[in-house]
Amino acid sequence: MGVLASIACGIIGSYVVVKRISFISGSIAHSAFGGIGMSFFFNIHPLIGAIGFGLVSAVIMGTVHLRYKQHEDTLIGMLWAVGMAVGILFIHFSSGYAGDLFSYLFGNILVTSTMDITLILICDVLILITVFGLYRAFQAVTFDEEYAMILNLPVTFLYFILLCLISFTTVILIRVVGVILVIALLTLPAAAALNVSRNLKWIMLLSILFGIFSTLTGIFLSHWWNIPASSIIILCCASVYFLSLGVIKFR
Amino acid sequence: MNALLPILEVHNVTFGYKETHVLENVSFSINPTDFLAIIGPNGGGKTTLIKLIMGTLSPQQGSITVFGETPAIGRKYIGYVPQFNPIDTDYPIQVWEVVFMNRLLHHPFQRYNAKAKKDVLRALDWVGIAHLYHRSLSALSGGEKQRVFLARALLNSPRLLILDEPTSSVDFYAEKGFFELLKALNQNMAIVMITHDLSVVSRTVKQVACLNVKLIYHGDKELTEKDFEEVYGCPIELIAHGTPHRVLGAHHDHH
Repeated sequence: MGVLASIACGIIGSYVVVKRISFISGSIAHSAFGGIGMSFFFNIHPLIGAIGFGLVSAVIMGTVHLRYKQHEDTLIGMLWAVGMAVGILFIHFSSGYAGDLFSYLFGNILVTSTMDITLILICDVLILITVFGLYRAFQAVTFDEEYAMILNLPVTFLYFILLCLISFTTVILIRVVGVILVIALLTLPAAAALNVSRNLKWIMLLSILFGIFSTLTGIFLSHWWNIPASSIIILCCASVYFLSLGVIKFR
Repeated sequence: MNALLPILEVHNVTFGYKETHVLENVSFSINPTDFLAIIGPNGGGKTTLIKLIMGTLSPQQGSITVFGETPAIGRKYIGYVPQFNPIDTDYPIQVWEVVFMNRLLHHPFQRYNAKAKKDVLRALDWVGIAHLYHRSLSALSGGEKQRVFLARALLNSPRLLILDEPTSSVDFYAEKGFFELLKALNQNMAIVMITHDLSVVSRTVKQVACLNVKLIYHGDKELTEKDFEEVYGCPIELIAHGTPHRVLGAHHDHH
């Protein structure tokens, strides 16, 4: 499961880091918590609510980026907080005990259901197909948006697709490290890979490998020492990143 | 295609935000063999004019025709070299990938095959940087980067080349070959160049236009002191260049 998550996170994380939209991604992740809360309330699988909310916030973020750029920063922060607040509200009104809450905030990779794996697999496949098919188009849009418009690319549409892929990925990562640490898992492996390579395909591959390494180490150590897996995973990601800084100096 | 018809027509274009006009009643046209330099102060509307020609902005009044079509349709026959932006050149991409980007204009889903590679190499060769094919864009000098963007603009053999401040990165200007290159390119396409650099104007171009919200067009290159005052708003020290081209009319024996 850690492996599957790392695939999505490596590919999409690379785009996030390269286009410098980590805060937008964080906002989508945290607002997905609203969806999780809503899912508890309506008694459906939390990841479904999370995906729904994630997509809605992706659409909002996309519209903001294209029409209200000056207010983008504020609106990112607002979506972030409002999503969390809505989630908390729904959970409060949910019947029964939301015992799973902790695992959605802080991740619980050790306990995964078949439904989880299925959803993640679907997301992975969607991401792989989209990125493979639209590789050159995404490259142009993330490199220079205005020039991409002149190339007659549907920049708006492609940007929305990218944000939707980000929201799928963040929802997967919520299962692994929880809402709070999603940004870290999304960006650290890719940032580390960026320090090592200058070729986007290699960067994606490397960040997938770094992600796999971190998640597997995290799972293993958390089993052994009986501490939360998410914390080890993130600390692992951070260590890899610091090591990658060493690579730059070495050049 | 009739070689005598203008390929670009700008007709009474006005553009502005709220109360201010960035461009006012601008009209001019470009013929297939023209080489036009647009000069003028910052804020005078030069980049806005380019955006209108490329169709990323629409004029409030007036019209622009590119190869007989609207800008959004005609722009695929234009090779565009945007102003050098030193901000985010850290993006991980290789030279050949940047040049190949322009193929998206005509074939959005084409894979990088042998023919594509041939075209990319040809474009790189045209600007003299075929040896940089595999290099990472971020590792190049300012001048080399500009050449990559120029190669990109040339990939689809455009009939009009538009360059926005091509000499703004210092070492590029220092490369002598650049102006000879533009002259050679002008054999096959019309060129419109925005520039601050008056020495460029004197050496390579055929026509000059001064733009400061309004446009004053000069078919030849005889510009007088009064023209500059009108455009830049203050008297400037004038330096005359020698033969074969005189940019600036002699001070007293004209008009």
